[in-house]
Amino acid sequence: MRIDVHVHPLLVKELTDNRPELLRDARELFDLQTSPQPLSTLFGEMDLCGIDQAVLLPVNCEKSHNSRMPSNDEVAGLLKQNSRRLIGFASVDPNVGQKAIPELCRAHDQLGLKGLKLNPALQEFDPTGPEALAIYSEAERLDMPLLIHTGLTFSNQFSIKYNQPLLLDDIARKHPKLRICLAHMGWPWLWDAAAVAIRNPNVYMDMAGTFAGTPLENIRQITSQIPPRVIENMLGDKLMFGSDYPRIEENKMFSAVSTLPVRQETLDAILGENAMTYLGES
Amino acid sequence: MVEKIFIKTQQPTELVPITSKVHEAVEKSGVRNGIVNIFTQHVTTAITINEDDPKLEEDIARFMEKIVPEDESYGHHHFFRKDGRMAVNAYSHIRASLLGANVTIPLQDGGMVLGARQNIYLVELDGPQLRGLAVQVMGE
Repeated sequence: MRIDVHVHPLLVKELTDNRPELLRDARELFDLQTSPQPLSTLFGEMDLCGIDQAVLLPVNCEKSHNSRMPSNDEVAGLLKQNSRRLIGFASVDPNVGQKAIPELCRAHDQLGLKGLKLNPALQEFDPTGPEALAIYSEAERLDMPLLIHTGLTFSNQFSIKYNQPLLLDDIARKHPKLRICLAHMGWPWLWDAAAVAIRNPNVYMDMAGTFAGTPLENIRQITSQIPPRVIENMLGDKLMFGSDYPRIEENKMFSAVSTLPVRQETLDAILGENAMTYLGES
Repeated sequence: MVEKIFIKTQQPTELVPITSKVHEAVEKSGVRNGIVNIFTQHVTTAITINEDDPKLEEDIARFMEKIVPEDESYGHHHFFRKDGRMAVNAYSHIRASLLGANVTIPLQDGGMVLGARQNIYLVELDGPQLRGLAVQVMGE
């Protein structure tokens, strides 16, 4: 089983045709300017590289920016016809305080969304603050893994001070049953993210991102900073394949990740088995 | 009149035969004698004419990959504010430039004046994607 754990359901033509403000928000808030594509384009990409499933990651900025990109209901709608290929995560806005908790429960219990996506920069919240801590407790109770943006955002609309991977260390320690993925390996704070992942059994990292250049250049930059031996022996069961689609084409990221200088069984784990564990499927 | 044709490509690089779709557009126009122009609106695709042979289609795709390699140092590969993403496909753009964005074919008595072995192709160079082509038929 091969899984892409990092797909943004933005610029999905089926959604933007229905709700033009989603396209506006994708451009103005998420800073994505390329054209909407039908879901079949994503599936075509997945088929090209043998990806069985993709995890859809919405971002809820209802308080901070009056925006849901997209809503949990819209994510659930995409799953209805495509449950074999897509896994849906939910998002809630920590800035709404206690109201986030029932929405998280609804997303899990009624919409069948399996995990939680948060983005401290875009959602403008402190991941160590009380509102966020309450959400983590609920996610832990519901057995919903958390995928949280760490590292750079290209857009300077938002501060990146809350994107530091080390901020998640205490969260991981205090919520040992909450499986946490540090998105983008916390680039450029790769070693900080690696440290948090190495010392916490419940922490993973996804490799989505092209902050250092093309996907291949990105992988080369990662392995120039973190020795292949460390990737193999200490992070081999922590890393997960993610594309960051539509910021980058899935097959390009897949081709690049496939060049990692690790054993085949480690690569297989990165491409799917680790995600299965993170998602609670194995 | 400009007719739009939409093609869903399947591969990063592939030649998609579109002769029949262009023929449909010509028929629909009612023009009997003139020209038809097929133009791609995408900077990482091309329009070309060549022999209708699947192996040759593979050869062309493979040769483009050989002469404009993917793993090179390209100035185009930087963050594009206007796209909100890193540009990573300079090789696709260059290949598209080498092949060209349109072809024009004469029309006579309602048909395209194509040689027996000539087939019109959309060349996908950064797929898979949904692509739009503009077909314009002019004449009488």
